[in-house]
Amino acid sequence: MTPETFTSSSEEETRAFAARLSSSLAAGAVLLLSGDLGAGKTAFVRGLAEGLGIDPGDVTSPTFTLVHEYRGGRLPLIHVDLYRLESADLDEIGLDGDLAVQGVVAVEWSERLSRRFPGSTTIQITDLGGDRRTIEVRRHPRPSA
Amino acid sequence: MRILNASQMREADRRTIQDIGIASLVLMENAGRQVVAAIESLYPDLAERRIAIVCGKGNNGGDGFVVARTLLQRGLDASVFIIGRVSEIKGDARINLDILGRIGLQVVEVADESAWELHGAEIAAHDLIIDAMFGTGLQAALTGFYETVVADINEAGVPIVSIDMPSGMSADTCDLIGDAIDATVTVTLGAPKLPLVMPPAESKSGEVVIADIGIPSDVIDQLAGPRIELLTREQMRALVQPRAVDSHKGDFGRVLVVAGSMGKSGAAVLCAHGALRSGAGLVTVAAPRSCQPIIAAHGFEYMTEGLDETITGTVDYAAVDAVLGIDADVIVAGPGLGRGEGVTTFVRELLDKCEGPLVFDADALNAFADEPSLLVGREGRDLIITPHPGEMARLIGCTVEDLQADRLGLAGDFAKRHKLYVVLKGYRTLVATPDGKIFVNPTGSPGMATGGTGDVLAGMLAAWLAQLLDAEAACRLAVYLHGSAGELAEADAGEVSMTAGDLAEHIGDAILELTARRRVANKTE
Repeated sequence: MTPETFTSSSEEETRAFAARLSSSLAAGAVLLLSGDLGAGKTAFVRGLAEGLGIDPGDVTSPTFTLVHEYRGGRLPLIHVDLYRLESADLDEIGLDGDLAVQGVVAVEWSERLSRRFPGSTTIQITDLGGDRRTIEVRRHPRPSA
Repeated sequence: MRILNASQMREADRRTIQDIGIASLVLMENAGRQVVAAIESLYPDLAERRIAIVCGKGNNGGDGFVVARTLLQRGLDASVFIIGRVSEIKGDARINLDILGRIGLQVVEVADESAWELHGAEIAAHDLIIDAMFGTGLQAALTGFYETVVADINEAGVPIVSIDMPSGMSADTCDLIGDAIDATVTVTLGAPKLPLVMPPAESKSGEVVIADIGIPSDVIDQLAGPRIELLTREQMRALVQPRAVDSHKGDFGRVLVVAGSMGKSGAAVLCAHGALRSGAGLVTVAAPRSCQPIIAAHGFEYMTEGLDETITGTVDYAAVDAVLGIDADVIVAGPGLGRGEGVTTFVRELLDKCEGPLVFDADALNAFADEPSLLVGREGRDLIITPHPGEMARLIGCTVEDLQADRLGLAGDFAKRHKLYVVLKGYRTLVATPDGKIFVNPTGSPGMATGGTGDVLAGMLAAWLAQLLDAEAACRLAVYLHGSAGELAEADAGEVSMTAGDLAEHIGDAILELTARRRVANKTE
């Protein structure tokens, strides 16, 4: 459970880091993103898309729509933003279906989730001022694993 | 004045009755008397009018019975029609119905469609109809008999005063759930309700009068749930303080207007006039060099600065340092800046580097359209944005229709999430604060739908921010005065011909009108 920490000095480095991370992800992976607005969560998701072979230019913030799905890569990427919900359960918003199991789920404002997700990975992005960010990756083991 | 939703209103009633101990019968008595007071002041010829009071079976009908009794005691001509079965009337309404019987006021029971065929035309022949049928109690659309009653009353061509809410409206939504009474006046009890203020439902409510029925203000203030307030004249008046006799220009703040581009120098001029007419101590306009002389020629009271520009005549990003070098308490940026990479980089750098408060309008907002997450306020540095619905929708990533369907929710979310103040322009302009409050502005006129009124507002916001040093207060006062100035300009030039320049010329009148009563009071003391 010790977090892995990475320091990024530009948006490009954040994206490259996320791309490397996503190439190692398997279907059903859940990434819970947190960090202030402007910290680079969307840039991170663009990197994930890139690593999966999806055009990163397609990625926009799903604030209003709640969920965006991007296909055409190695695995589908499901980009979720929970800001508009007071509290949320991934099951309730339809992410328990086949797609979520077959793809990679990236959740912004995951603090609004009503329960923990064993097997998920937490990504905390902290703004150090200027373009510098720390990215902390913490994997939560499945109880049985 | 806090605007309540249906569940907050029910909770306010419950606390007043159970925790504070004011009997519900007393609230009903107060309601009926307040309605009479309101119609007496609105209809000076009340004595010559035959009044029909159309009551439902619930508490709204009970309020109507009190109105009937009070009118009768004043010797007025009032008849009561009950829509539904008299035998089903219970509780406080029953008590008041029985009182009517004892003082000899006959009521007419209109229990079904065939009874309505008999009495409908009779009701329509009155000179004033009081709608006391359903109040806030409805959740579903009226059907059958009730729908016929509402349609026929609307057809009567007689002024209608609704008690609490026009019958047919639901207090739970700002949408119209079905046909509803077209009220001339709504006397709403205790506090304004959302659908009486917000479109589309508010189109049915006519003039809204808020009746104090004895619910303590603390009860309303302490209710949980959304904090939505209607801006009122009394609150706004308190924000405009008379100036000390030994005031000097430094007391009222320096506003820097960063605006204009080739072909759009007027936006900068209008913005500067908005600031000057709102009392800014000193105004400087910084604009691309090629439009500086035009801007300077259109106003003597402000100073101008020329900025580096691109070949298309828009501000160059390298101008940021020059702008930050100008002494200013507040910077307002955006009107007429145009679009392009230079402008985008300039605006983003300005947001990043500026340490003082900022007002971003128009093209300053477009600079964030493809990267809205960069548009964030920060601790200790206020940021006010003034989008029209198209700009707001672009920043949120939804359609204008989506936005219009939930202006309160979406503007509120954006303000909280991006830690800034949102002034969402349009009919019933909203102010949403980063700490979750929402204010609804009642002033304004359709004549304001003309180019440049937004530029004037941006200047007004900057001027009040420089004087009040409180972004929430500045937003509230500026939108209120902007709407009032629009109403006054419309009265002078008409809604078709009025221009943004006319609006700016009427800001002074709007301030005088707002503060007038206090001046009179001071003189008589």
